Amino acid sequence: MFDVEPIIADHKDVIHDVVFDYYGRRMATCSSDQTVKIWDEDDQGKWSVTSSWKAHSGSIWRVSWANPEFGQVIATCSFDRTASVWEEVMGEKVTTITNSPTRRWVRRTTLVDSRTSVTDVEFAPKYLGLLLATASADGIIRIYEAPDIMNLSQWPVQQEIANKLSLSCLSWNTSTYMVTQLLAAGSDESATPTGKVFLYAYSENARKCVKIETVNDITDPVTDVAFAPNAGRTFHMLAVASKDLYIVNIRGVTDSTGAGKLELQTLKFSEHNCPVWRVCWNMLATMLISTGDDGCVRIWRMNYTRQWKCAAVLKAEGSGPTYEPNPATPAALATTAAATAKYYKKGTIGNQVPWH
Amino acid sequence: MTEDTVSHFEIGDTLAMRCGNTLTASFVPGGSKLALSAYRPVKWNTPDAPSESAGEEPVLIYMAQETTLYTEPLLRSLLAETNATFATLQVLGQGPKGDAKKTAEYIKISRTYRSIIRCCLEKLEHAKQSPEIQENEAIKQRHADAILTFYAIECLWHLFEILYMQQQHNQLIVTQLLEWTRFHYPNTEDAATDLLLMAEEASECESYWDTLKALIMLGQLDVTRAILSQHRKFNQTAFQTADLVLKSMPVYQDGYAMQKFCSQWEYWHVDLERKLAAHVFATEPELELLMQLVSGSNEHWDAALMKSHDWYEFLPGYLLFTRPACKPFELRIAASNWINRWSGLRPNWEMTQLSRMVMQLMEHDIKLFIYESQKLGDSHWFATHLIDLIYHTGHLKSYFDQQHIDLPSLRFSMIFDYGSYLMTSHNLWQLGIDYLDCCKQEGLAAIELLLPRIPLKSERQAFKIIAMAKERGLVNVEQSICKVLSKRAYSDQRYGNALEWAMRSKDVLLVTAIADFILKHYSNTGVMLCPDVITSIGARMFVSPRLVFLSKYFEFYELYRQRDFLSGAELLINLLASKITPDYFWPSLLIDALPLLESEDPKIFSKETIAILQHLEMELVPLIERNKLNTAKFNNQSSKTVFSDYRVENVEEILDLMRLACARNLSRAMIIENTALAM
Repeated sequence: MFDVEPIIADHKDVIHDVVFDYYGRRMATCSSDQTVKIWDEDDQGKWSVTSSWKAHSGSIWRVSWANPEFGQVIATCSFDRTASVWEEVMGEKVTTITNSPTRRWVRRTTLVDSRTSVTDVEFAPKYLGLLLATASADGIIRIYEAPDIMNLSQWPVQQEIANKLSLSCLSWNTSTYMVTQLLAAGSDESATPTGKVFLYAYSENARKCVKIETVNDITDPVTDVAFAPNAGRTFHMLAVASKDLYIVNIRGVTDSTGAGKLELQTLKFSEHNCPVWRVCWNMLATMLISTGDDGCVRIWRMNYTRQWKCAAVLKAEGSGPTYEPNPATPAALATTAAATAKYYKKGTIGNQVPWH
Repeated sequence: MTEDTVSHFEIGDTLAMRCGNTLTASFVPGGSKLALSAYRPVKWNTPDAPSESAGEEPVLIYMAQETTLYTEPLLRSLLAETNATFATLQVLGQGPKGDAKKTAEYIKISRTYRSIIRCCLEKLEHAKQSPEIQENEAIKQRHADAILTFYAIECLWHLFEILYMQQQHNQLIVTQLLEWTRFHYPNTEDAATDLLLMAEEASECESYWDTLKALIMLGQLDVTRAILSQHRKFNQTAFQTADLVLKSMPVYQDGYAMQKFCSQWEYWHVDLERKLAAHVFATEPELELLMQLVSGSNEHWDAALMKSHDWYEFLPGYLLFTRPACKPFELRIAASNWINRWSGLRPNWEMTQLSRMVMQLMEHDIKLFIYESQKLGDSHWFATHLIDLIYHTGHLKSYFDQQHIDLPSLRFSMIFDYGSYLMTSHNLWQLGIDYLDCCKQEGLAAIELLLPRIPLKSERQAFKIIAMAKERGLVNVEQSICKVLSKRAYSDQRYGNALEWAMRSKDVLLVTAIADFILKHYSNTGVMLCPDVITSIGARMFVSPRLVFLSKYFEFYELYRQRDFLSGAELLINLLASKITPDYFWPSLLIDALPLLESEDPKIFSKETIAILQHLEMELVPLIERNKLNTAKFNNQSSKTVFSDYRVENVEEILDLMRLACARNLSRAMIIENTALAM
């Protein structure tokens, strides 16, 4: 059974990215209406907008939260060829109601190096420092570093890596279990039949990123890649959204010459029968969500025999906001889109899911 | 287990249904929640234009959370108590599995689980009756759901205990099954008590014979006899014979020889049938009906079955009168026959989940039973604890091997999932850790990933989490939490707190950064932030050289304020020579020396004065030069050191002042020193 609560987002156009902070109590949404909204969850579980501003002069594609060790920091990337870093600061005014200082988000820097739309932005794992990677439509990956964690206005470019194919997504590996730190990037180029997922090794000492592997099994355009958080595995898992859903298992091995290299094993899941657009892991990498073009979201689960199986499907169906099997009380949300009320009606769907 | 069925859920979202759009979802960290919203696919060459549906449909985000019973505080205490039992079981279970001596212990544990549930059910029932709850529909419903779910769980667990957890193999189960049904259908007993109290008038009661029939079918012979003995006509032959029959029915006790019991029972049964055939009870048709039931006459049982609430209610009773020596494996056949009979009598009957699971248990269909038990709505509490118990007792090992189910992996997986579920639930994380501790490395890795994600609502909670991390040697988690709290305090401008947490984290960069901030703030404004924290730094200063400097400088600052100039001067000289002075602080440090140099009564001796001069020329001057050079090259060079002191407008002014002051002090000092020598 799921309890579903709809929240009116107040965006004027489709939301491109919904990203949660480290604790899952703050949310950032970005949209084609060029605004970013920051939401906070209160103790009763209600979400409300605490900040909303026009962040770019084009559609905003993605948002990334930095680790809370660096404070409240997000990065956004947009069609307008820029990526920006924003930080939440305490304002001077004290609101009379709550008697606490106001908080607002300020732009710390704008990264203008890209000549084309910036398609993805992601903060690196915290132990590498305050690092940011951007992927552009012209195939260039840029890595920026903030040398002073107390002063976020300085983000010199650490490295630019050129790629022949345009890039649509990237993902940092967050585990410390393997020596090589990996960065994955995917291309949604449809013309060439070559591998579309590229793996780079980032060396902390040399502070340089080198391409080490291409996943040749995946030749269809790739729209999303995501490394799984590592909870005690001896290998890495990379989920790839392409014509089908793929999970690539990556192991670090030393070959006969003693050099380290990567061994890849690609698993394909065709249940969607349509292109897969986005993938998302949960905190322990026990579940994976894939977004399909058929209006369905599939939840995958690794069962006790260590095989991935589709455990649930969520569809966007029906002519109105009804929830199977018990339609709940009539929606209050059918009122005007300009409604500033953000409050909820509960509905329930389905039966409990047996995972094994 | 059954691979083909995938649950489907639907959400009606008009925006997602539009052409070109679809539905997307992401996990919300820190809970079992999903956020769903309409999604429009984006490629590298997607044009930047508002989509066709812009402004037409409301844009919504759906937060979907798996429903849980555990928002109810009473149930949380159930979780906590069963957690303790689980821990006991783990300790007990060390050593080889399937150890026969421990069976009694395992049965005790099983009973402990059940008694905790029963206790909780009572409390829930009681709470449900209270007026506050009665008024609140939602909470009342929640209570009702919880009671329903856990009632079913206890019922099934009890049955499982009877059938699969026995002291000896092939023990007779009929008596235990009777006890089981009696507990779950108490209405009849209540009615019986009423009848007993009514004594003679009982037989006038309308429900008299129905109650007696039900009592017989539940195998409660003693109570039946007691009620019958109060009947007015008890002295008649029919009643006397009936009483005799009931009294003389052989009941199996532990230790009886099976053969002997069976033959005795056969004898008794045949005797009863003969009596019935001879119409001994013809005078009392109702009584005869009762005796027919006792003789196990199918015809009469079928008729009486129509009154039962569920298929298994009277099965044990039937077994008592037809196969009192029934063994567990025989139950299987008896149960399936019985269900066929029952469903034959009620063609429109649909099985509830509880009935189905009872059937699966009786028919030894454990695999399906476990699969069904995950659908109970208790967030897999039942399945997890039961499988853990099965694993430890080792009783069903051969069954699982036959079915090609890897029991240890299944158990591991269930405990891991249950533990992680608890850890990501509001306030239940401490229980979750116990479960994850049983999961060896994967469990520890999961704890390492999940502990830092617990929202830090208060310092007390943070300390608790840090203690948990320390216990398990998770240094990274400790450090991470300290850093987050430090940064949070820093953003809130609570610098003392920030410094405290930074020191706890032992992270050099962070401590240095905060110390830098404090020093810069002092040199800009002359205000020393958080003096109380700095005084209490103590031995922790060695985390970072900057912190050592701050600590020592603060000492000087205090000495100066207390007008202990000589010690202050000494400290200052040491600081100047120490090589840990940050670049931006040189002016301030040197300016501090000025009043000491200018004082009539020399506080600084000649050698030290020369040292100061040396520092001035060797450190500050080159820095200023470098700054000028850098600014000349690149106008907005950000890496230049910013010199500022609240006491002077322009740092370069002090160069001459310092040189002059040093010279004067040198002269004074030299005179005094050399004069002393000369004497």
